[in-house]
Amino acid sequence: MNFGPHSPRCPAITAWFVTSAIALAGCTYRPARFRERPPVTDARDMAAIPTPAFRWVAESVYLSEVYLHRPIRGTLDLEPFPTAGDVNSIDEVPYSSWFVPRNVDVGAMARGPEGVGPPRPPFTVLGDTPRALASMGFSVTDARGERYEMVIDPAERPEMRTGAAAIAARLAWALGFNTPAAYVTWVRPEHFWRSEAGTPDVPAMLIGGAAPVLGSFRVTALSLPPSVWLGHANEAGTRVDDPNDVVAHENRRLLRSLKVFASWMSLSGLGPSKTMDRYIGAPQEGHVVHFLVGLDDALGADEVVRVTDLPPGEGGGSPFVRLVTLGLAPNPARRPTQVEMPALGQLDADVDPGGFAPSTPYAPIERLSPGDAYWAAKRVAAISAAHIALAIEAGKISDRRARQEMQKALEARRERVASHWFERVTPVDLTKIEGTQLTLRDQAIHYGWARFQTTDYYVDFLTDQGSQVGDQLKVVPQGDEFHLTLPEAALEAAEDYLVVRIIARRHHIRAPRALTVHLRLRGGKITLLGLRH
Amino acid sequence: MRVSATKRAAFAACFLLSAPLLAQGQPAVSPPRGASAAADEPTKRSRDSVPSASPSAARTPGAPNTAGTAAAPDPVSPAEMSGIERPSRRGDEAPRAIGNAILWPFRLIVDLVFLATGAAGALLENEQIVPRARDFFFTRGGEIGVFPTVFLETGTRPNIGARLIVSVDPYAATVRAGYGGPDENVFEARMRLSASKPFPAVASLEGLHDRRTGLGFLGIGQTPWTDPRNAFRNGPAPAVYRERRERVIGGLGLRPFRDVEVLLSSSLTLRHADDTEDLRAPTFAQVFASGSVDGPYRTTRMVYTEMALRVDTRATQNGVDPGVLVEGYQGVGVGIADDPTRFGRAGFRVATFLPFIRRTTILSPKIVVDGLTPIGNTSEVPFQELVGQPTYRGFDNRRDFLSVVASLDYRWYLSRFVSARLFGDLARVAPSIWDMTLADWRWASGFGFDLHTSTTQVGRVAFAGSSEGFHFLLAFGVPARFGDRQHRD
Repeated sequence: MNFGPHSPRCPAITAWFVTSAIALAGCTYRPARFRERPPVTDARDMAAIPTPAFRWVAESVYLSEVYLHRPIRGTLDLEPFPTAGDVNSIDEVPYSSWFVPRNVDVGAMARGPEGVGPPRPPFTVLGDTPRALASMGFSVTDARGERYEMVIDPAERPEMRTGAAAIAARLAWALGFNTPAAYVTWVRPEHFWRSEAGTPDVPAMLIGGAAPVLGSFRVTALSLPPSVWLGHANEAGTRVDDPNDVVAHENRRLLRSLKVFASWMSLSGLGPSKTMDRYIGAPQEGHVVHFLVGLDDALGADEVVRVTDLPPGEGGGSPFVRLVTLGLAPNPARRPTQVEMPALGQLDADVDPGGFAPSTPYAPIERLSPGDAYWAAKRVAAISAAHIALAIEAGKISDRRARQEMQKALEARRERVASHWFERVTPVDLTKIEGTQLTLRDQAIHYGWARFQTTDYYVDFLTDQGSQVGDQLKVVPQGDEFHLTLPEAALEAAEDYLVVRIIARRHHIRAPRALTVHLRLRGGKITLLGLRH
Repeated sequence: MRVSATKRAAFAACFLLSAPLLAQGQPAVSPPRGASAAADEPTKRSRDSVPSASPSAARTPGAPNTAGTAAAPDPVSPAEMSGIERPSRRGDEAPRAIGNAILWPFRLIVDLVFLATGAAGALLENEQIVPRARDFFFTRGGEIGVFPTVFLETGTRPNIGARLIVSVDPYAATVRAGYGGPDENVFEARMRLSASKPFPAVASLEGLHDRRTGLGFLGIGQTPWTDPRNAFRNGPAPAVYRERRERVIGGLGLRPFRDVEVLLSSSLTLRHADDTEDLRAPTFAQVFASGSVDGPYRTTRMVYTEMALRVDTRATQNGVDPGVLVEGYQGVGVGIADDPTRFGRAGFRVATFLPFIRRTTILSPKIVVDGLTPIGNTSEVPFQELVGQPTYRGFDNRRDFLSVVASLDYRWYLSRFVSARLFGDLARVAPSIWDMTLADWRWASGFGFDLHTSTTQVGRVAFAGSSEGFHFLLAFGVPARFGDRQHRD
């Protein structure tokens, strides 16, 4: 190749220019720019579609994907995980077939989700495998022809799984998930008859479970709307035959946030099996709705350690520790779960929110960003003690001590989980815009997990190109709310576009991430365009 | 307009009229007050029930979603939902973009390798020789697809191909093809018919054509260069050859008891070994005296029939389950169409899987013995049919009439579906049991990782040092089972 008289130096000069350009580019930051339009409040993902095909993934395929393909590909991809794709301009997850942003008051919490009501005997046992349960159960239709899946308690832990299924379903429903309606009820073996050979022997299952009370066995019946079972929601990508499914599942904030929700509810076994896709509606007129299921594993019901259990078979420590110690590192047996309150599973008040992870990798929760976690933590924090008490009430646990312990544990875990994720961002929300004044609330102070006396905020004003406008402000709050009046320079910039960047400091330590509020001044009125945590 | 749009519109109108009565709350986090110039008022319809299109759901105070879809708008894309018209830009994007562009071909290869693994799973399960009863229900019918296979090993050419599978229980079929040139190609078809009653059974029919080149033959014996049975022309050297192979196998597998498999199989194999096109490679004619090695430069035609019995008490083959594995086989190979080949084969394998300190740390001593003997005084045994050592994790390049491979493996649990392994192998071939001395044993030892499902192994990576150098193995797929000796050579 000929570069002319200076050809020997040209590649070097070109390389220098490229390097310089990269270095200069590396010094810049330009904030996002939001469109001037209302936030999306409905994902519109429930248009009528033909019935999608049943989807099933072989275990070997799933394992090769999560243990081989994904790690190798991830290593070769330098891009950071994309931001969640189901988040609107005000950092919220809108209404969709996955999520219903319920504002559940105590009355609604007491009533729970609408459904067909408890099952009415006699029951016809079906051969269908229960899909909404993680443990032993069976499917029936009741006297009205309504279909239910019933879960029973293990013999030594009466009321535990049945209670967990009902309580966790109510909590998950309040968080915004679609869950089957759960009814704790009492049945007798003679209520069941088998429609055909090959169906489960329900009376034998009942007798093998927890002891009856006055001849009646306690079960929790889960009711799903009439629909077609389509399999689990795949952990990555979309359902290709569902045109409504346009957000890759690993990029759904709702699924990413399962780490936060599950750590609060002590829900084990996170993965595709905890999801259920169902086609609701007549053929060609329905759509897919996505449910959270397997909640009888929640509240520590799947973590119970019995005195008779063998010590852990595997070596102690992380997989890496096991590798270097040849699997021989000590792994002492866990302390057996208390037996005084059999209705209560292994539900400790203490939890490690950051370290909580399922035993098998699950792509969405590996992509949990601080912003996603903050959104989820806010929803957890919004579940009040009264809400928790009402959810526990739905479990119809007869042991008062168990109810109290469960309440205490859930409240303590709520604080641990929410405060952990609040510390990963600037946990401030915009509550009001009046004239040129913004009112903001520090959620950590609001819930009592931080003190305003040790908190202050640095506020920067930027143009949409990232240029600083005016001076940096320091705001010292007098409570959980503080006001921010936009200075003249910022208002001038807001004629075009203004980014307000707020970062909290606690004990003089800056929060890892700032809140950015995107504003525009139109006709003397400040308009919110977007915000991000 | 879609057919149902009118109905949905009517239903939506009815719903909207009733919605204010049904509303129970607003979204938990609404746009801030005063910001409504840009923000929509939250919809007044109830958000309290599972979104449903079912007309029967109308009796609940819920929100039949058709209200929002009467005009059947497209779903909101992530870009539209975020409201961002221009994403933020950070300083490290440019170098990262350049780096990512450089890595793009590698990512593409990885993606291609794992393309359509959904079908792979079906095959991996189907390749079990005789599925246990519950396995018949594991794979749902109607699978079809194309997927990759990967096998890399030191000293061999990378084997990356594609497989087509059709699986409609109880029938399954696969077609595999690979092409690396006129002397490096393969085509294989397998059909399988399974039954679960009165006990699990599988009948299979397979066909194979392949050509391989760059194969080596050192001579026979543990130390071919000193073995007097090898007639070297110009001193010891490996002969390099290529081989064409056609094979048809019919098989029947039965599982009369839970842990017992009986396998009957018969194959017709045609082989032709000759010189490679690489003029620098030493040929059979150059390395060995004329007529001293049976097999090269002619087509061998042989029918081989074998019966094998396998007892495996392990709950699964995933590697960290205790138990005992005992296998034995006996077979007869007879040349056809004037081919003088005639031999008998027999062998066994015994392995125990013992919990060592923990339940998931398994110590596994194993011994594999294979033997072959010519039948009759005028019979010949082509060199390719001599006993090799495929279970030895060093280099499988010794052949003779008797082989012993002794192994000790230590496997331990790393995480669910992944285990690690330390191993050591000793291997020797000999003309007979009387010549199986303690001298000149070859060794290989190393470590590796196994990936397995809850029932079987699906992939492994192993690194081994041996008396002849470093050895690397990467395999993705179910390993060959014993009793399946027809596929060993």
